Amino acid sequence: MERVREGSARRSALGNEIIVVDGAGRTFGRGNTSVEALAATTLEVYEGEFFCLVGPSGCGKSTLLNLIAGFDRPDRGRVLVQGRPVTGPDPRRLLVFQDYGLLPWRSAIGNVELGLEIAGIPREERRSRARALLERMGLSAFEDKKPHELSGGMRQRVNIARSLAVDPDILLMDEPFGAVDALTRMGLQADLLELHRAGGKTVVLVTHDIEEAIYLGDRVAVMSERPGAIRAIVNVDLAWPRGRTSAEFTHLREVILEHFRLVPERRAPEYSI
Amino acid sequence: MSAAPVAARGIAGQQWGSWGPRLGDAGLRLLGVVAFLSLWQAATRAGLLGEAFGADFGPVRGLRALGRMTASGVLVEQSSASLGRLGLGLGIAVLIGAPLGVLVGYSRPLDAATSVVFQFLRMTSPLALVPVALVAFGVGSRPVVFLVAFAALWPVLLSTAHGVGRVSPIWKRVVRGFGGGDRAVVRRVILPATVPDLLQGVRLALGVGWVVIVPAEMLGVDSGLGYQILDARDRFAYDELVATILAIGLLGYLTDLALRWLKERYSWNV
Ligand SMILES: Nc1ncnc2c1ncn2[C@@H]1O[C@H](COP(=O)(O)OP(=O)(O)O)[C@@H](O)[C@H]1O
Ligand SMILES: [Mg+2]
Repeated sequence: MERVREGSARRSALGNEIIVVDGAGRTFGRGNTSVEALAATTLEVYEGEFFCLVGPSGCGKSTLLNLIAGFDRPDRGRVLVQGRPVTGPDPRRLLVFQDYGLLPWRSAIGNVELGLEIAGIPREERRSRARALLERMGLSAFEDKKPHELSGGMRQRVNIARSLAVDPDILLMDEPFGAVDALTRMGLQADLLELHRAGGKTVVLVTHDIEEAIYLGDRVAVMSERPGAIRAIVNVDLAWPRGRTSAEFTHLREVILEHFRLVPERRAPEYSI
Repeated sequence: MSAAPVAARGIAGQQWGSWGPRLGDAGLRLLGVVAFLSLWQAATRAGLLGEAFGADFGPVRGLRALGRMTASGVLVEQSSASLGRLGLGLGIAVLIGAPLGVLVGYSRPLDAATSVVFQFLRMTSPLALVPVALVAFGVGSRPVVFLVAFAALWPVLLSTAHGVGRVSPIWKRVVRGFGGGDRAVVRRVILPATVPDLLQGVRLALGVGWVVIVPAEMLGVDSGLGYQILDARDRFAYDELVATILAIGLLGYLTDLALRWLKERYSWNV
């Protein structure tokens, strides 16, 4: 695995490893219909880091995120979070679903309260915490609206508010802004960045949008085609606010794109069999 | 998203044409009822229901009898007897049908194994089971409740199973992600997600329940609206018979309205 400018300075600045993926792989099915979704993968994510994963569609990004979230187990290797093997889902490391996963019969505020209900937080406290988060997300006027009455961007804001309500240490985001228009996406990205910089949470964000990864990430991991493996990890040492058109930004895009260009060449011989 | 309600209103407005604004929905409903009663009255006057007692079968005398029977308390008494049995039968159907529907909705093998039997039983007229019910449960309220429950079970079960099919696996994962177990999944996802379909099933069950309870009460019980019809017939009190029919229709309409309201209250859109 090639690492681009992986600085040890960054490691100490960011603190300890909070997520360790140690040779973890996942194959679905058995026999000759089995699909190797994720090749043995090794990576570390540091506490407080904003870590982005980019890769082509179907390369195993969601599979990897599911392993970290505890919705699935690796069939090789192991996944450790805060030093302990992952055995199941845990509200301290929350998966933020791509298609929001909002409960359609609940209002926006009811959705934000879901995790707090499950945690057994009393009603009054639930309400006030949910209300504060919706306000932070600019959704105060919409707290009584049902999901189908909200736009895609608003739904994702509610989804993020719902995740933040239980104050997780780790947010695992699976292409969270894939289904919203470009301008809304930029707004959401800026908000997410602000939340991250204010909160000290660790974020692992999966995307197929290279620009999004560079805009948000402290590091960007590039995954190869299926079966996915980490092809490279690129440090993003850019100051905030990050201009998407600056020379450094464009350069990093080039660097990451370069990794993708390697993919078809390497795979080409296999197709000719 | 903001355009939809406006468009819906536009379509509704067109449907009613120029009548809508002047009369309104309530007015049109009332007009329909009055027209129906007038036609009915005219038909009995013309002797379409027989010359001898034709006028007794008309709505005018029926409504008068309805007033009398309400005032004397006999209607309240018989209605509560029927409503009690109906409620009990529907309750039993929900208690059995809802969990069974959840199981069938979840398990493909169970669905496959039961579908023929359930469809067969659903199509079996509960009235064909009257002798069985009488032998099994004796004389009294119990066979009536059984017949209602039997008729009501299938719509509740099948509708609930359909509702379970609308439960997205993502919602369950969301609840599990927050640390929720099976109980939390049932309480916060499966129940609220399937309640509208369950209530729709209960609505259908209520319809067949009313259809079944009247003839069922003609057998071996001495209370209820079905009994009241036979009793009125035996006393040649045909206006009371009509009044009882009106009461059944009215109660059916009102109970359905209540369930429809309940269903709307819990329904959701994706
Ligand atoms: N539960 C599953 N059963 C079988 N195949 C799966 C399952 N989940 C994912 N896959 C397959 O694994 C590969 C990687 O999937 P995924 O992790 O969702 O990719 P990505 O998120 O990068 O688009 C895909 O080919 C997909 O079809
Ligand atoms: Mg995916």
